[in-house]
Amino acid sequence: MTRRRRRHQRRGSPPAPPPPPSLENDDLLHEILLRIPPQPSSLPRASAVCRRWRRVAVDPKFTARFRAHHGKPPLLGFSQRRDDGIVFAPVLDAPDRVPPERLDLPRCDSEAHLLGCRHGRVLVFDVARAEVLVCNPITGEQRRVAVPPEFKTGHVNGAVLCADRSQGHMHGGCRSSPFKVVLVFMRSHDHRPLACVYSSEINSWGHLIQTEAPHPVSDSGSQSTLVGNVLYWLLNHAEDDGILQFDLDRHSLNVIEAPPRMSFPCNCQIIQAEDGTLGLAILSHRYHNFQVWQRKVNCHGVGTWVLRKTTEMHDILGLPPPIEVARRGRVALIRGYAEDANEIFLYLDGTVYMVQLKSMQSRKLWETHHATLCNSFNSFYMPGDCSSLVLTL
Amino acid sequence: MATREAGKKMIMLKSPDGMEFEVEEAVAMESQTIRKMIEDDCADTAILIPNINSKILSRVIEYCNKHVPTTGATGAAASDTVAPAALAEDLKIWDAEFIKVNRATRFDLIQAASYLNIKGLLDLTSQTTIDTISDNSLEEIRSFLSTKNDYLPEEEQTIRRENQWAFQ
Repeated sequence: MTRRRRRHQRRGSPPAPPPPPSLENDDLLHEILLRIPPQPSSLPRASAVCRRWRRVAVDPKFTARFRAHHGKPPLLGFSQRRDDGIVFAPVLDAPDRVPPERLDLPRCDSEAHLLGCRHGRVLVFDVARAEVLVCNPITGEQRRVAVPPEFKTGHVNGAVLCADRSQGHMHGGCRSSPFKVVLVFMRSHDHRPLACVYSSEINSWGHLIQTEAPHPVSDSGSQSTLVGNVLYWLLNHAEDDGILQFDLDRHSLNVIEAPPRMSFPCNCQIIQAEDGTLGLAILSHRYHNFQVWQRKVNCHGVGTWVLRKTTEMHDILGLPPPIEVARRGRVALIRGYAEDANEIFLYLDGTVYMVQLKSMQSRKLWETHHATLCNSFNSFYMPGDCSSLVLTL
Repeated sequence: MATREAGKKMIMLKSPDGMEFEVEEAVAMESQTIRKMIEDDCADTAILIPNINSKILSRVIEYCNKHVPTTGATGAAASDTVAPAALAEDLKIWDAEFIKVNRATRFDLIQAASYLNIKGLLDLTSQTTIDTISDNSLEEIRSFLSTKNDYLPEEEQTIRRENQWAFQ
């Protein structure tokens, strides 16, 4: 309830100053620009309105708030290994379509393996030089680091991630944050998987970490998945498939078993299951259904796999029906996973679809003849990120 | 000054143009700025809200009245008896009507929401402004917000060239 009444102004009290027009106040401009959509064209466009808008849009305090306000950065596209190098494949429409040449990686003169993308950085293994290359495609910054000697003689997999654990840090604007690289390797002579962690803060590798027992496994070349503070990779095994697990807190490396009858590794994807635990999505052999498994760990630390849900493909809106896929002999492959959005990328006969695992809704992303792995690249795009632009503001 | 009406603690808010508004303390505390004053015991007398005229202050109070969590006769929160989704939908419709104001009033409301630290009102007013201009050309944005383009032509060209794709 509100009551109001007019009160005589006291004699002699100064008249209230007229309020300044709203947008002349920088704080209010901050508040408004904060709510611009997080799409890549938004802030570059805003910065072209006038000098004051640009000053706000490039102010580190503002950009930090912008990232915190929006939370998860948008998916700009995929980083992919192709014959012509490691290229960026945009998935957004104009004006948010960042051109591939803007985010392509510099060409390596020798064989280069794309190991993954996370928190705005891309990790590449340069085989001939035995180096890892960590790039921030948006700012163009890159760092080359020689791998430890043990990793020079075989197939290496790995992951890059932001190392900023401070409270309030939102991944997506990690460009100036320290990072870590985790390399994993299956040593053949004693069947021991190995891991080693590089920290950009001290610019060096830590000690070698190996599993307690030998495991006759080989790397499947899968992308890593980060669940909580643990990294996972799918492995190939002579009899049953397994999963390599690296705990970033404990610095421990283990091999855990996969769910039973998981026999098509190219159609499996490690995911984050509901309630933040390890999960696995499996696309059935003939594209009939999609299974989501969850690993439950009891109070004694013993883990078991539980089938959480099976979704028939014809129940996923937007995907071609299984009968058509079977009739035409089409190929259906899981090609990647977006950790933040919990979405699987599905390649189906020249088209990549994104399937949201919670809602089981799909969306056609783009058409391509490259069925290579899709490393999702999510980032905010700030004006001045790439710039050699010097303006007196 | 703080008084009591039907068991509810009341607070007096004053605008610089001499209007006084007696509001329930719970309504006034939708503003984090006022909440802090009350919690710090700085609100024994009427609170002067500088730079917010009576027209805007009355609209702000109207917003807070609508958004304050209400309690029924039994003391149970209204949200316990009404489905949260229905309540949220009702508020959304109300907000959409509330924000149908002219540009000057909207800017004044943004300023008031910012000063009084009322997050919901700041979100509503700022987001509505952004939604209004986000699909517009730069010229339309400048015109809508009465913002002068103070770039030299070659500077603007350089800025556009920096991320040319964003202007297509």
